[in-house]
Amino acid sequence: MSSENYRKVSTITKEEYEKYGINRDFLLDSYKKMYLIRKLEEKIEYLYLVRGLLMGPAHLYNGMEAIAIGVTKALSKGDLIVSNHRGHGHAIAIGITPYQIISEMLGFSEGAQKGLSGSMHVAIDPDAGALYSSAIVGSQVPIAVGAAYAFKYRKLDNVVAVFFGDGATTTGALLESLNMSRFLKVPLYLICEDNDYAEYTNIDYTVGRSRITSMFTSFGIYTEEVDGNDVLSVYRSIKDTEELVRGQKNPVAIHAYTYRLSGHSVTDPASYRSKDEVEKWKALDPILRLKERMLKEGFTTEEELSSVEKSIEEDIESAVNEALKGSPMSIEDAIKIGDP
Amino acid sequence: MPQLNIAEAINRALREIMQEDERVIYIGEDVGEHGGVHGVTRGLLEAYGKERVIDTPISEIAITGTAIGAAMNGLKPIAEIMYQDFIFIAMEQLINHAAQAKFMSAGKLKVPLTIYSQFSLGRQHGPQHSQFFLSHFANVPSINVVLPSTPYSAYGLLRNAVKQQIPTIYLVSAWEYFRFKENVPDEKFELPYGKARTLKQGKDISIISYSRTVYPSLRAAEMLEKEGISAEVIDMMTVSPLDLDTPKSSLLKTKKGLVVSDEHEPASVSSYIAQKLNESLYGKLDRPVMTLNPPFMFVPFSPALEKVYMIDENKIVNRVKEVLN
Repeated sequence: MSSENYRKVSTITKEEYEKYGINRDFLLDSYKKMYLIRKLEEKIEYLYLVRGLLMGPAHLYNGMEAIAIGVTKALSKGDLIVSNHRGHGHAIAIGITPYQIISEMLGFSEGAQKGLSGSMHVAIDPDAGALYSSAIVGSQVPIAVGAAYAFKYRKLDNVVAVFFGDGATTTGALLESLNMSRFLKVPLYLICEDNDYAEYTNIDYTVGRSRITSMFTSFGIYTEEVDGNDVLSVYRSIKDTEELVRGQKNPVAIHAYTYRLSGHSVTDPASYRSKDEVEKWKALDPILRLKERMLKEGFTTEEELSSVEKSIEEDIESAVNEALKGSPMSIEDAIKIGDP
Repeated sequence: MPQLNIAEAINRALREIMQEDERVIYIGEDVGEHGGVHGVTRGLLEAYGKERVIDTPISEIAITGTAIGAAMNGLKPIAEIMYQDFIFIAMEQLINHAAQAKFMSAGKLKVPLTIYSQFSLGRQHGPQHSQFFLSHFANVPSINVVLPSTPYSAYGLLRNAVKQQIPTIYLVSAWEYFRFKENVPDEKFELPYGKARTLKQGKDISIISYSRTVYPSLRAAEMLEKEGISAEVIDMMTVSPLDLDTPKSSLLKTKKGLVVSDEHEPASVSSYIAQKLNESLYGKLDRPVMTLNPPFMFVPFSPALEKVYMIDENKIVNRVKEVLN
């Protein structure tokens, strides 16, 4: 990897805040959204495992919150994200509500997709900024290439950001897309949320974690390696490469290192991971790190944050209670939706 | 009225569609500079430029996925997959994403995508360049499966593809590209999906067909006419959506029917059509609607064997006589 097509990104320091437009509002808003994702995922886990109210697969985003928030805060109006099976965080980041997400997971017509698609497709709402979400690993990436091409073709200044995990880097869909995105020169952020595991198998075993970055660069795609548990590093990476993507219409890959705090899906106890490994990553919790930074730099107080946290938890509680009152649509209505 | 072959009719439809609607782009392997492996897209690149006529790498997944994403984001792409056999590479994109997106998004997403492809049965292209499968596609909800058979239908059906909100698979027989000519009116027109066409009236038997076997069915009907047998010939035009009313009315008149298709018979669209007609016309026909398909084997390369494998007018005539006796 030459330094021309690769960079390791560092965080935004306090001295650089002004240059990047980082202020109290930015930090507090990031904190609120990340905290909302975390508490929603914990609530979902509870509704599954303790209350037995939810069914089917649910792949939780807890531990990875800084990526969804760092990326979406750096995007502009009209830009689109493309999500995947682990998409609750992406959905929250673009403004889909906990009520819509829980309703969807209950299979109710009040859900984000009217209960037709479930947990793995909550982040579909083109008007809100989420174009599509695929439950097939890697398959969303070529679709994101096409959406980005459409922006360029329509002479719009918008970009697409597609999220995929480390597990997607071994799919044909992704590898074909890397070449296609470079060949078509499309304004696309390829966001690799590298959470260490492809389902139950460590990515080091099947690929080699460090090799993922060179996979991107070998296709001629400028790539940044980012601490995915630091919202400001993620934000900086998107902002610093904006001229390449939005301006010059190039794909850029962001290899963001992070960690799933839960298992592959909600029912997976993840016993294949060592305690030491989990503890190491818990110490790097993106929400705790942001909290510590804000306190240390004097942007907030413990009291303010606890009141913010309390209000988010109450909002989730009432969203759940409200969602439980919903009901599924009729099969007759469901049949019509797919009609020409 | 100009006489066109299928390749010319398709080329004309493509030029018009691209002229009328800037959202239409054409993407595929060798479709631009080279004008397509059969010359069907010749001249498009010169007329509409590189942004709209895109020569891609050999990446069927990415070609299809790119076209799906562009369709979701405001364009009306036509993605060419060079041979039908290659669509299998892209089936995951086609079924899980192109077809499902509208349902999965509760109607928020529209996918006005056309997949253009051909099959080369009859052109000595061997087992992996000749296959004709329909049930793979017709078994999927929310997808149009469109089968032009003559220059007239090739033109009219293609013009309708870019007006759809769900994906359309437009599948043409390359054996037919330059073989037959037909009058195609100068005036622009579209042919509806889910509406069969009666190509020849008759009273003794209904021959129901689609795609490449339509012309052999018409020739068989001419041959039968000389022997005093009057066959009605119906071109189904699309198998998804499927128009069963047209063959039903025909069968109520002729009381005997034969479905002719290049598909293998097991789990085929042809056997499904026969089954649905037999169910709904039980007791009203002289005998059940029968089928004619090639043998259940892969398409042999050997020109001599391929000829034996393929359905032609003689096989249709013989099968009709079996049904009538």
